[in-house]
Amino acid sequence: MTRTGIRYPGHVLEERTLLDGLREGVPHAFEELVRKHAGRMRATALRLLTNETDAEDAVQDAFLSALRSLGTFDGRAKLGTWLHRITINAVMMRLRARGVRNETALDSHLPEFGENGTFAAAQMRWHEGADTPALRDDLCRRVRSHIEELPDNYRIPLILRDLDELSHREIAEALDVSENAAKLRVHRARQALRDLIEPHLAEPA
Amino acid sequence: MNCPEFRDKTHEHLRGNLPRGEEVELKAHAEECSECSDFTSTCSELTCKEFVDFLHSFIDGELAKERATVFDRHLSVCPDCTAYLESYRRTMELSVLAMTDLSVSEKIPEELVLAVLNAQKQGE
Repeated sequence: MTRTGIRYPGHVLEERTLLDGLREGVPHAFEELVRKHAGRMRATALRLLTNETDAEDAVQDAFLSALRSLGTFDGRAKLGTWLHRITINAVMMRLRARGVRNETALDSHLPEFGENGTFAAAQMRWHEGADTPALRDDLCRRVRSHIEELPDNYRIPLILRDLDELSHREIAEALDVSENAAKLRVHRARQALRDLIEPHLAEPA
Repeated sequence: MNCPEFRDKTHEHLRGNLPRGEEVELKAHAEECSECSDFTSTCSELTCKEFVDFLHSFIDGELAKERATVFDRHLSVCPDCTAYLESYRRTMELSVLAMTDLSVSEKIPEELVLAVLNAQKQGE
């Protein structure tokens, strides 16, 4: 029970203690924050930047930025969610600074249609493909490598939407494109990835 | 021609793969069978390209109710779009699984913790 008489679940109370500690400059509070959240933040940065040094620099930027804006954090979101957004911002700043490296169209991976709008070729059903943990790991490795194959202008929106769960509007703002363009890029990226994965999972004819 | 044959041949016809003479048989069957006649109407109210172009909006529940019903009806007659939708959904699941696996296995490098703490001290 807090002084205001409101009951908070354990993790919220823990976060409030940590936040209070950070705001009051309690020794080791910042280190506790870093040790608790750096792993997840690094993973978020790494899957977008694909380079360990860049990812760790982005995490460092994110923590410093979080410290500067502690006053604006009202505690309504979880600390981890707030830090995740700050990490995405730090990553986007780095991506903008280095420019889009690999901007290519994906036409060869999109489905083809005949003149009357039906699929040009029959679509195959996929099998499960990962019955054992070893097969599952192998499939995940392949999928990961196919995601990395996608050009930046499609890979990044795909990750922001499906992994980081940003809205299309947030992706549009982060990438400085229209909301429709953001939607289309996510859709095309999924279609291209589907096409790249298909040889591993399509039922033989 | 029986009804399953009619459906298979209609798909081939829509793909442009049906030999010319067989169109007449299709038409004759549709005139006699009201179910297959409805099937033909459903096939022509939405093309596969339209279905695929707006698939993401369909999945996100962003289509107007009437439009979503047309999409559902199209799925009920189109094995190609059904297979495509399933594989598209599976792709989304697999990409989350593949990328989440990576983050779970990540350990926090001690150097990163020290670098962040040093950067903070320098900034004070």
